[in-house]
Amino acid sequence: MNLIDALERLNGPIAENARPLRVFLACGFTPLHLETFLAAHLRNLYPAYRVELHSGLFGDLVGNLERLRPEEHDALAVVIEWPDLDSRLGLRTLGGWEVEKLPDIVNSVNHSLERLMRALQGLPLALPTCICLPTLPLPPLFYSGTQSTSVFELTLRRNLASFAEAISIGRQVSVVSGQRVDENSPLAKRFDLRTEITQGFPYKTFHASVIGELLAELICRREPKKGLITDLDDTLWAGILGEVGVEGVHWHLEEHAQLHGLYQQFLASLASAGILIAAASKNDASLVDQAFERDDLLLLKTSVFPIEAHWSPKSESVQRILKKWNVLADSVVFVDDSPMEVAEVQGTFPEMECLLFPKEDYPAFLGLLNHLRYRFAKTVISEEDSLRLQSIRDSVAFREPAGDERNSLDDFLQQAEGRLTFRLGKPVEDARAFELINKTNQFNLNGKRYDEAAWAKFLKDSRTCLVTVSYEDKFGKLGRIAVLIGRLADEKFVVESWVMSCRAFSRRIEFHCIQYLFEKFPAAEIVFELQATSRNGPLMEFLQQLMDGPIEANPQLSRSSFLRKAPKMPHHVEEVPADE
Amino acid sequence: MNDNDDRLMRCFASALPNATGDEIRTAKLDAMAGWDSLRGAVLLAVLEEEFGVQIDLPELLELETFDAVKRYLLQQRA
Repeated sequence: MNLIDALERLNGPIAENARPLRVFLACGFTPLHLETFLAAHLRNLYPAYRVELHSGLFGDLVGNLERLRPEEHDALAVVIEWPDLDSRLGLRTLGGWEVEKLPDIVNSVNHSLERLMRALQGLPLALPTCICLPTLPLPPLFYSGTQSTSVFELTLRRNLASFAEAISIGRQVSVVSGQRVDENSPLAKRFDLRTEITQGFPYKTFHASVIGELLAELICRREPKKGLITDLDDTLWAGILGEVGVEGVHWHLEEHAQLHGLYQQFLASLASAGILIAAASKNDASLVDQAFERDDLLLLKTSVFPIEAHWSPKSESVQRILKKWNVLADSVVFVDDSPMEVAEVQGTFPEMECLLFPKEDYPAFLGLLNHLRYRFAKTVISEEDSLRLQSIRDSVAFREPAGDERNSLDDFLQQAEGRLTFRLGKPVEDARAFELINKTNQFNLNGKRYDEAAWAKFLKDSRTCLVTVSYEDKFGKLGRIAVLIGRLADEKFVVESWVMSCRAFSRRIEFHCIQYLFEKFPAAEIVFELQATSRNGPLMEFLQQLMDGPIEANPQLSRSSFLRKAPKMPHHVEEVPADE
Repeated sequence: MNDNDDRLMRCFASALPNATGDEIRTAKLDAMAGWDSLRGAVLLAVLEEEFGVQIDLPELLELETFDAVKRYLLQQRA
């Protein structure tokens, strides 16, 4: 985006009823074009919002943070440059670069970092904060020359890294990736000495755009994809299994198949972070089974579910995988080395991201891994991430009970020995409820999403309550699988948001949730702030079971009606404090 | 209106969104709606980016009008 595009984006019309998105840009220099680019990129990412950017006083980064009123902002972007830590590290002041002053500069930077740390630690945990560490070069002040790195510079960089590490642990602080800055903004396109001296703005417009975009991306995080479906032959491994046999497929350097080994290693990494991995291959199923038994495979068979190996079209395999995962096509990435297969799957699932595996193109391969890492980016790994795959295997068993059990769901659920745990309260540091609300589509009362600012506001609102629900049974733990937000009003409990992970379907957990509300709150009726979406069919079907007649806007369910229509609820229920 | 006129008008309009087209064509820079030093710095950066020239703010202010800026840019690029 160049400056004129950014300005025109900001000068464009905004809906009158647009909600404000108030972002404080804390920097020590004149924010000038950085402010413009950040606002324009935010506007692109948040088209329904009226972006309001505020900044503080020139030359006082730490003071701006110390004076910040967090309640007046929805997010905070902090941009640090070396002169903010000691003005002698900039080119607008003449404090001296003599050798004897260098230790004092290092000490002064440490002092500033400590002050910066205190200022950031004084802000509420719930204020989404992103930080950009210095991106501009240090001036030539070190006697060791520009061809080697001075010990003073090494100390400065070490202390800066320690500061960033400390501030990002345990807080909602995201640090802009230095590697992404390096990739997107070459060093020569960053610093503008002329505008630094004449206007107090040190960035070339190109660099300002890059930094603005990266900050906007961190403020407005996109929902990560949930699963990856991979081809096998010439993708997960080199070679055609049906032609070369189980021992003939390769993925090691000495067999000239390193890219496939790296891809396996990458998928294993995704799986360990809770990303679903499945395989779709036109292949002999028994051969595939044998290949997955090879003990040198980097991606364990247990990390791949399901494996669709047969001769039907790939799109049919993908359809079956989506059904077993119970996720929608737009949450999934498909990877195959065959352009024809990629086109066939893409044609059937236009909303799915379908990517070609570039088996002979090294730069494109590295690009693929970086792109996949971006698509599956997570801020934290939760306990639920490690449970996800097993619980999906289990839920397939629930949906497809075998033999005599098929005729008796009651018995099957009873034998599952399910235990539900309800937590009533709003722990600030619990990211799981926020994540569930924002990524669940199918069992979702109204599709309402919360950005980080709205979530922070909700957490502070004493009129509303938050219920989170965890589940486990003899097949294993599902972890926290449902979130319910509501309020008590005139002897009615109004449900504002209600989501449940698709992994928890078919267990009657939704009935237990309603029963819990009736038992916990003195309400004769529950009102659902229902909104049909293109995806919440399962929620609509569930409510329909409980209602007399067609579902209308904001349907109400009386206690007596619920008791009359609810099936047998098989699980043991307990309630624990929210912070447990 | 030629291509350079369009481009220059786009620069002025983006940097000074409150000024009308007529105002941009006829008024002095510092008399245009919304003009201040910040808007001046923005106009400067947009002109530099769009026309690949380097201008200082005092130099721009001395030019005073849209037509003078246009002539200046043509000279710079000649």
